[in-house]
Amino acid sequence: MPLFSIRFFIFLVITFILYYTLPKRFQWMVLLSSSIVFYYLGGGLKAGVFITTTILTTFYGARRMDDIAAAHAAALKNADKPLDREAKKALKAKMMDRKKRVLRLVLLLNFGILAVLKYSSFVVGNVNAVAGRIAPGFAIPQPRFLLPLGISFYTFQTMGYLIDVYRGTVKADRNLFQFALFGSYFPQILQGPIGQYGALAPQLYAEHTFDPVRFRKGFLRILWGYFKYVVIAERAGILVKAIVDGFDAGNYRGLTVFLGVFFYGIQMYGDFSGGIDIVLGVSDLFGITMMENFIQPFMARSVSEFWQRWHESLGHWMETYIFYPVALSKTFSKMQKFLRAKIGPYYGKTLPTCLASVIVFLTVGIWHGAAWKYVCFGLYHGILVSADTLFAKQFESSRKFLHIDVDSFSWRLFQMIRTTFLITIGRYFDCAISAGTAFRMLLTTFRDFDPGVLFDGSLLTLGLDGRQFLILLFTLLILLTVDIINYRGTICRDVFAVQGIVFRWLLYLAAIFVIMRFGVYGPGFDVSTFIYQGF
Amino acid sequence: MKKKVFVYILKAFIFSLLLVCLLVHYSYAVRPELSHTRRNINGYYAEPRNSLDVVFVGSSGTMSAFLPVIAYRDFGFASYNFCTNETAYEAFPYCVKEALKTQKPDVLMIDIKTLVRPCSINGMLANNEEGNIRFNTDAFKWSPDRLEFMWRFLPHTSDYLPYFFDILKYHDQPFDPANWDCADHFINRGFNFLGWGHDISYLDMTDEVLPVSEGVENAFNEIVEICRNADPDVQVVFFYYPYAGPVAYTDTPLEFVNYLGQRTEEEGFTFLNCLDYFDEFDFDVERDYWNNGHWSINGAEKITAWMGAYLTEHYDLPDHRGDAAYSQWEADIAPFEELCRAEHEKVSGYINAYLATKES
Repeated sequence: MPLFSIRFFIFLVITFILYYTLPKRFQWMVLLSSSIVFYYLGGGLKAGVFITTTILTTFYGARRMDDIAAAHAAALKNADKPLDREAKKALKAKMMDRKKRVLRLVLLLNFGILAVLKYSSFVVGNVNAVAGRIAPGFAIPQPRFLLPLGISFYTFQTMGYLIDVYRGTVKADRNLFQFALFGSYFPQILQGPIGQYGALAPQLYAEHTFDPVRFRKGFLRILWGYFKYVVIAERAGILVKAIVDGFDAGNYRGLTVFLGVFFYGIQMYGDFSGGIDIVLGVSDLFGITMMENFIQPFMARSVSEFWQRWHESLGHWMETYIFYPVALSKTFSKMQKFLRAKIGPYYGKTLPTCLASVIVFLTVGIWHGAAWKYVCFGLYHGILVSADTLFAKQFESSRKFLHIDVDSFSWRLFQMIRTTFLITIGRYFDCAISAGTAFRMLLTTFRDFDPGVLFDGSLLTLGLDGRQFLILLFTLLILLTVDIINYRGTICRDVFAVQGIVFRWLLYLAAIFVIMRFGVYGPGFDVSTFIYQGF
Repeated sequence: MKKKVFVYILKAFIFSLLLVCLLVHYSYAVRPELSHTRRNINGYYAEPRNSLDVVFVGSSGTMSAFLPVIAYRDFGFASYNFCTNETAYEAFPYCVKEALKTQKPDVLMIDIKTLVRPCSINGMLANNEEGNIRFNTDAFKWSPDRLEFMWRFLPHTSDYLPYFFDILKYHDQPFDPANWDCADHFINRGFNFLGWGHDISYLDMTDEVLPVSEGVENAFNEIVEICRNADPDVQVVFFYYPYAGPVAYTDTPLEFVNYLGQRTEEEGFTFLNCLDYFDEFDFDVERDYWNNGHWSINGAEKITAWMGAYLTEHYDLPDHRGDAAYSQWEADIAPFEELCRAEHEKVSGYINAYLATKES
């Protein structure tokens, strides 16, 4: 069920009415029932098997780990005589070992499902390619699976919970149905954000009273999300499709290709952050606060900062469950010691951290899809972020040498433009059909750079006529203005939500009118679903 | 607490109402012209309530037959051709119903060609004729009847949502504020200047009778029912214009006409088969037609003269000429005559060129 559809709207209205009209103790059940219906309508029964498996195995796995921890605590408490430190340590190690076995089993099973469904075709394809060179004719049949709805999101969210239970930062959930709601909460199942159990679950299970101001903020956020998705992203998508599809036919080169990729970035931002706005706005209607996923990413002054502002929930997940475990692992500690001795304390400390960053970004790349282009995408960003850390000292001294005022507007603007440029270069790997195409697109961008296309009218032959182009630019200006206001600390919807009823209603009606009028949807347009639903 | 909830519900209701009004009117304002259909129907809605004396309900043929403004000039009664193109027989009862919503004419003329040449929604669906389906759905105001019609005859899948909510289809079309309320004065009063055509063929007259299909019969029965429930002051006439040759979709139109004529009389309504008076029209096969089912301005003037006289003679129609309430009609005569003059000029050019080629 696409978020921009009449069905979703009707579904949401019914859920909302039930949520606030039934006794409060049933609220979480309403959300669970709606999530099941939503998932069934969107993914069907077969997809339900996978999410049910994940929820069941995670729930019982976490409970088992909790039981192990409880048994350990009881053993300590009921010991005939006080245990010495070594004995306690041994007991704890044994307990952790037992928990680890459960953790590994559940992680293996669930990431295994994800890997098989999402990556087996890619792996088999590569094996066939290599083996075919050695033994011509060799080919393993390539599996083709239909990805269950939201598999990456619910798998990451539930596995995050499992690891938290293993670490003892949260207690295992004792109610299977409530946990099922945490794993399948309908607004976020399509594209996140990836929630943390400690922050999200208590809100999902709590009783909520209707809060009109919160409702208004949520409603405004939903409208803003639709504006970004339907008016900006879908319109930019027409341009992107024309350029990217036309590239292989040799139709475009130079600056046109760069603009195509730049607008792909706009499309991604409108699509993904618009979708997240809808998710967060819908959650606001139910009195639930979800993690922010986009914090004005185009205001970032470095690539590292960009990734703290873009898809923050995934970044947080990667940091918590991959970066720190890797960077703090015994292997990396040993590596740090070794490097410190060899190349000095700064680089010795920084290099392993950079390696951990590369691993994280590689994982992020692969998370986006099973293709070499995503591997390149991850590596590119990993290398940029690492370089930022590794050469921080050199950058600092260069700035001092050039007497650059780092707080001046011009320098900040330069940093933002530079970051946007670097991120755009990375997007070549994301939007191109393959890694090879991405490299060819990059090559032509710089080799055949032709600024004349900005003035000769050729941009108006890419699917958007002059009027459509103007709409795109004007709506981008609105987006930029709102982002700047938000960046400066004023959240526009918070301001609007407390205005008088006439102003608010006019604003709502105007917003709906703009979305209806300028949105790219319906049979006249080629409507795509939210891009991130594919992940 | 209860008061608070009531206020929330009331606010939500009022806002939803405002929103629906906005969207409905916006959807009217972005509806494109669908080959005269939108203009014709919008023009009908723009006529002052219960101001028309005669309403012709039919399809494209009806649109090309009668000149209401000329009839007003010559006979004094106000009339309108309430027609869409490619009217499906399933949609025809809804057209009749819609016509009676804003007008209570002295005479309601129902052109049965739509039932004789049965083009159906099913056929349009099978052939993926979106445009033709939209002739039947996209000209009318939002109403439960419009929704009911679509619900009955269109598939209930998401592909067809843009028919139910035409805003999905047209939201990006040029915005025409004149159509904000789906009512915009149309000087032609439902008449459509088509130009001119040749190679017209006439059918041999027949007394044979051939029953229509079950679907058409049902549509006819629905129309009969609507007419029975209409205001008793409305006199209903089922009629068939003097169409020329074979009508698309059937080789036996006249047998169907005879059947529907019989059925009309069985149901106690008047039936007027203009083919019975064919010679009185004195059609010129070289000049008066656009095709077998439509006329040029020349043919339309002949039909208007004949039909105007017929209606004036058989029904007690008022003469509004000089009536201040009909000043708009008076004002429209001169510009409409100018339109007719331009059409004559154009058509004469075509005819002369054609005849010259034919002679050479």
